[in-house]
Amino acid sequence: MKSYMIIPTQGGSPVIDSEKTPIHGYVLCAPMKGNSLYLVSGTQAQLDALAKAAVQVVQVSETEGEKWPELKVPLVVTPVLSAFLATAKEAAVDTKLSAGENLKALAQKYSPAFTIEGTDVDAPKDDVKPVGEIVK
Amino acid sequence: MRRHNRPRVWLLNDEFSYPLAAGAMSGTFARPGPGVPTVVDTEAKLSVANGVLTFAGGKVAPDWGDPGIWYGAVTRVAGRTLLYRTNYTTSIDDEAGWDNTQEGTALGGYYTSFGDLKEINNQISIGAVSNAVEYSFAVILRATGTFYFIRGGAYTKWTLLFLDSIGDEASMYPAISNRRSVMTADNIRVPPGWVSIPIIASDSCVRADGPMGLTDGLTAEKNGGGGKAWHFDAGVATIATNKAVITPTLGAELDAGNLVVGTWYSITATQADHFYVGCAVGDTFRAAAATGLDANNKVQAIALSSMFATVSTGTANVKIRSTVAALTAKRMAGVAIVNDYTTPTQGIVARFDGGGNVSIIEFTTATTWNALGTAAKAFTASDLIELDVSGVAWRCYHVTSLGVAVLIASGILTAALAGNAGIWSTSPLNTFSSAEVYAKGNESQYSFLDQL
Repeated sequence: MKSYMIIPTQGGSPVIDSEKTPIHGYVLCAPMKGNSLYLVSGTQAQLDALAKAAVQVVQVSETEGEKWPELKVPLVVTPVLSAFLATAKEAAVDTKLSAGENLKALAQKYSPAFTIEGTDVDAPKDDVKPVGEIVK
Repeated sequence: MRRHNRPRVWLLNDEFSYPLAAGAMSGTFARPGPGVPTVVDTEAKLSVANGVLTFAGGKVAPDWGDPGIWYGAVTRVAGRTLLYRTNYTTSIDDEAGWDNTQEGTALGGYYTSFGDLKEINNQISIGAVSNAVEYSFAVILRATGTFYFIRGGAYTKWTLLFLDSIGDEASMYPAISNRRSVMTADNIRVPPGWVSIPIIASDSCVRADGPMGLTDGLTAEKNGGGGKAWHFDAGVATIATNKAVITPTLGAELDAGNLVVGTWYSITATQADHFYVGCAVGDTFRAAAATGLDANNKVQAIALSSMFATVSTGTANVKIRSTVAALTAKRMAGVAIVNDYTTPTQGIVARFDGGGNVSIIEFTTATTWNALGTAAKAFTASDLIELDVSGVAWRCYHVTSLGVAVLIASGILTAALAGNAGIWSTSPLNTFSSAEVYAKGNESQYSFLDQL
């Protein structure tokens, strides 16, 4: 599984306690001041645990049917995300727009070259359902 | 000067210049030819109109290889090239490339997945495609494996996306098939000759002990890239027993004051978990905090410039690959692209971190570092790490000695790079057994593909 999360940073790295909240991987989407937006990969349990110490923007999935379908639906604003955006003096998410549109707008304020398509990270293999079946 | 216009003799040439109704492709010939397609189209999804092959989606119960067409066998020769064009109405999943049979899925080729452009053998993302854009593809056989090139859309020049090392079957069949995409294809061709893909730098590291000197041009492709001078701090990069070794320069032992954030250190004394959880004497690390030093917690600073050995590439848009022969726990080794090989102040590093991860980091000053990405990937001797940079976009792959590849991560960087790419290590306990640098193609290095 993968989730877009806003995580505090120190010295250019996300502050993730590898003992308490281990994850499989992450990729930087946009550096912010004191925080950064990351795409984080891990098991569902790992992402759930990390989400308690970070701000989970939206969780995405890859299935037989479609890649990251959650990005196409309107973003449900969680209290945690709302509070973060208010504290950071960021515009609140537009719940009429899709999660992907909101995510892209937020990331591109800090990293204009960010694209959802160009940003990805490896995930635990047991946790990934293949997109289509390739069998030879 | 008089030109002699001789008709080109293709091994395969299908321009779809003769209309065919849906379901009527079986038993036809490539036009103008040569070529005879073997057609699988149980629900009449294939037709030819307006000079293109049209895939009107997949079957009601979607299946790889139906609809699909396969042409006759072509004998594998390194450099043998399959060319084709596509234009997607909806890119969901389809595939094309070289197959070792005339059914099912291809072997050395591309498939798409909701706009992701993937390499079939490893099923990993190597690029992206958009709908309503015409793309040209070149799928070029290696002695073992395949080169993957694309042009079109965001890829304004012929671009090297990936090269794999899987598959050496002698007989290969040009193939294109569809599962659920709605798309057209055209100009499916195999030119009579073979192409030679140039390498900027290639080094097998097999030579007498001594300074790294010049690249030998003898990695797998054996297609140039020799004679390039390795640049490194004096005495740092050497060949030892047919492996490259970097011996970074260490400063005086420090036992007072604080670490400087962004500086690299080697630990010479530590109490439990003082610098980070599990730290030990001999570990190398980059300071993320101004941790205090004392008689029980001591370090030596590592000179940044002494961790690199690079060659001049003429462009920052390169694919740098290196086989790490041996890696010692908590010492890091990988590949890098930097702005200056004598005083690097900006660069990107992809590394095995000696702790079970592959990580990508960039620096925008000598002490300002950003962690760009990481993923858990245990190191096995002779694993290959690959960093691919095109403009601000980067990708990092991990490849085993058997050729099994995964995309560690992809994203964007902020460091301003220049034309220096090579290997990177924090310790002489790590060794390298190959290094290769290819141009991505941003500067038209592969424009010769237009001449095929």
